[in-house]
Amino acid sequence: MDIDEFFKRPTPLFILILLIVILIAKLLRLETTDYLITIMFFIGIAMALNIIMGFAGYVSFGHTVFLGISGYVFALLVYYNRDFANLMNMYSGIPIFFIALLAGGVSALVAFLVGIPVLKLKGAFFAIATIGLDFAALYIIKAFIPILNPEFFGAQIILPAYALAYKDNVFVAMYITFALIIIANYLIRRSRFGMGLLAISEDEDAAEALGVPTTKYKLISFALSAFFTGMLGAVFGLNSGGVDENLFNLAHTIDMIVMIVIGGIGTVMGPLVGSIIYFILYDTLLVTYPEFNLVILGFIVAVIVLFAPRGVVGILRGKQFMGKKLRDIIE
Amino acid sequence: MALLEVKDLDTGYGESQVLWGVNLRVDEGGVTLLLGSNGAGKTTTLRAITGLIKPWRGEIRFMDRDISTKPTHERAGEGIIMVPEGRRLWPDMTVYEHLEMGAYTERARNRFEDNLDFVYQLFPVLRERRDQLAGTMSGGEQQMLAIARAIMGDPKILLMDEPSLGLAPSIVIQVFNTISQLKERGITILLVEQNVHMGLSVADYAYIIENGRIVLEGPSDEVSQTDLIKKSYLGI
Repeated sequence: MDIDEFFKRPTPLFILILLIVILIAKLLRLETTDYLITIMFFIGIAMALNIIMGFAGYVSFGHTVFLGISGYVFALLVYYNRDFANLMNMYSGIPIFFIALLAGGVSALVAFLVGIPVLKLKGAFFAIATIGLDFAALYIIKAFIPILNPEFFGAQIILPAYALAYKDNVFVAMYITFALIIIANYLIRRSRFGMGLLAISEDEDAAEALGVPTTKYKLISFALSAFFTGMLGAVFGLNSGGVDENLFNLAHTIDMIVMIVIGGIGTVMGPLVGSIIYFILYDTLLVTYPEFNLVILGFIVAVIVLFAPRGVVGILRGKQFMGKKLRDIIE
Repeated sequence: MALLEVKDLDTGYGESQVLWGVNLRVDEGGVTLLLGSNGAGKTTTLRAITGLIKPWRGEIRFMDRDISTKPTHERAGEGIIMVPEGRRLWPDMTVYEHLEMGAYTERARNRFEDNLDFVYQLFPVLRERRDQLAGTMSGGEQQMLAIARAIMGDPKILLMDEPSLGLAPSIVIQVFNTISQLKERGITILLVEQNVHMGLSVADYAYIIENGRIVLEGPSDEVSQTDLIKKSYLGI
C-alpha cells in the first residue's frame, strides 16, 4: 500500500495519535501506569471482539471465556516455570508479550475447535452457544485448578513474588499487544478478507454464492478475535497479580458489546471511539457517583443506542464534511 | 455441448423431500428456462446447483465433471454465479463495493476491468450511483445491481432466480431486455421464472416443473404451444 494513500484516511492517523498519546502520558507520568494499562485493556477487548462481532456480524456473547482461558494459561505458565517467570523482568518486558502470545494461542485453538460446530449457528443461537462455552470453561477451571495445587483455593491463583513483573514491563507488554490489535483491526478491515467478512455480516448466503469461503473466514475471524482477547486476559491477569473466576464474568462481554455498539458497528473507528467514551464515562462516574455509577452509565448508553442505533460514528457516516462523504473518510 | 447437467436429483430440507428425480441440461450459449408455480421446486433446484443444499441422490455435472460435493464458494470460483431471489444485496455497502465484491473470486478479479465496462454500458445508472448505499435504491435499481454484481463474477453460467419478482411491469420489461443483451454477449443463462410469457419469449429451451418433478421439456416455441402451458399457465 502507498504511504500517501495510507494517510489520506484518518483512521491510521487516529491510531498513530492514540498510540503516541498513550506513550507520552506514560513517559511524562500524566496518568498512573495502572490507569493506562486499564484503558488499553478496555479499548483492546472492544477491538478484539470487533473482529468477529463488528466485521463478521457474529455476536460472541461468551467472549470473556477467552480472557479466562488465556489468563489462567499465562498464570500457570509463570507459576510453574521459573524460566518464564525470570524472563518477565528482562529485556524491558518483551518476553511477557511472547508468553502472552502463547497463552492467546491456546484461546485461538479453543475458538477454532469450538467454532467448527458453533459457527454453523446464527444470531441468538450462536450467542447462547458461546455463553454455554463460557460456563463450561468456568466449571472445568473451578473443578480442576484446586486439584492441581491446594494453594489455588477457590480456583484463585495468586502469583508469588517470583512470578510478578514490574509495572513498567507489564506496560510495555500491554502496549505492544494493544498496538498489534488495533493495527490488525485496520489491516483486516481494508483487506479482501475483511470485505468478505462484511459481506458475511450483511448476507451470508449471498457472500458464499459469490465465492467468499464463508466457513473458513468465520473460523479465522473467530480464532483471531479469541487470540487477541486471550492476550489481553493474560497481560491483564499479570497486572492484577493473579487470576480468579471473575475473568469469566459475562459483565466483561457486556462491556465489550456496549463499547462496540455505542461507537458504531462494522467500522474500526467506531469501537475505538466508543471504548474511549465508555471508559472515560465509566471511570468518571465511578469516582464521582460511586453508588449510582452503573445506573447513570446505563441511562447514557440507552440514550445513545436509542438515538444513534448505528453508534456515534454511525451518525457521522451519512454526513458530508468539506465536500467529502464522511463515510469514506471514517472507514 | 452440455455445460451443466443435473441427473436424477433428489433433495429437500430436513425430512421433507422437494425434488424427485430432476433431470436438467443447460447447453452453452443459450437461455434455458425453468418454469413452475410457487413451491414447485425451482429455487430448490438452483440452490442444489450452487451447493447451498446437498443432493440426497443423483449428481450435478459442470463442464463434464461431477461437482456435487464441492462447496458453494468453489462452484462460484468455477463460474457458477447466481442472481438470488429477492436480490439479496448488502444494504450497507455502496454500489461500487457490490461490484468489487461481485468480482471476489480469482477468475473474476482478472477480468475486473472488462466486466466493469460491460456492466456500466448495460446499466449507466450504476456508474452515476457508484457511491450510493444499495439499501437506499429503488427495487428496479436494486435488481439491476444484483444482476451487475453477478456479471462481475464473470459467470460461465448465470443462474437467475425470478428476476422479475415484485417489480413494476415497465421494469420487468427492462429486466428481460437485459437478459436478451446478456444472451447476445454469449453468457449462458438458466432462468427460473413464474412469468410464462416473458420467460418463454426469451428462452431457447424450457422445462416445466411441478411438485418437484419435471413434467415437460422442449424448445420454448414448442412448449408454448402445448395444452399444459395453455391450460395451466396461460388460462386459454
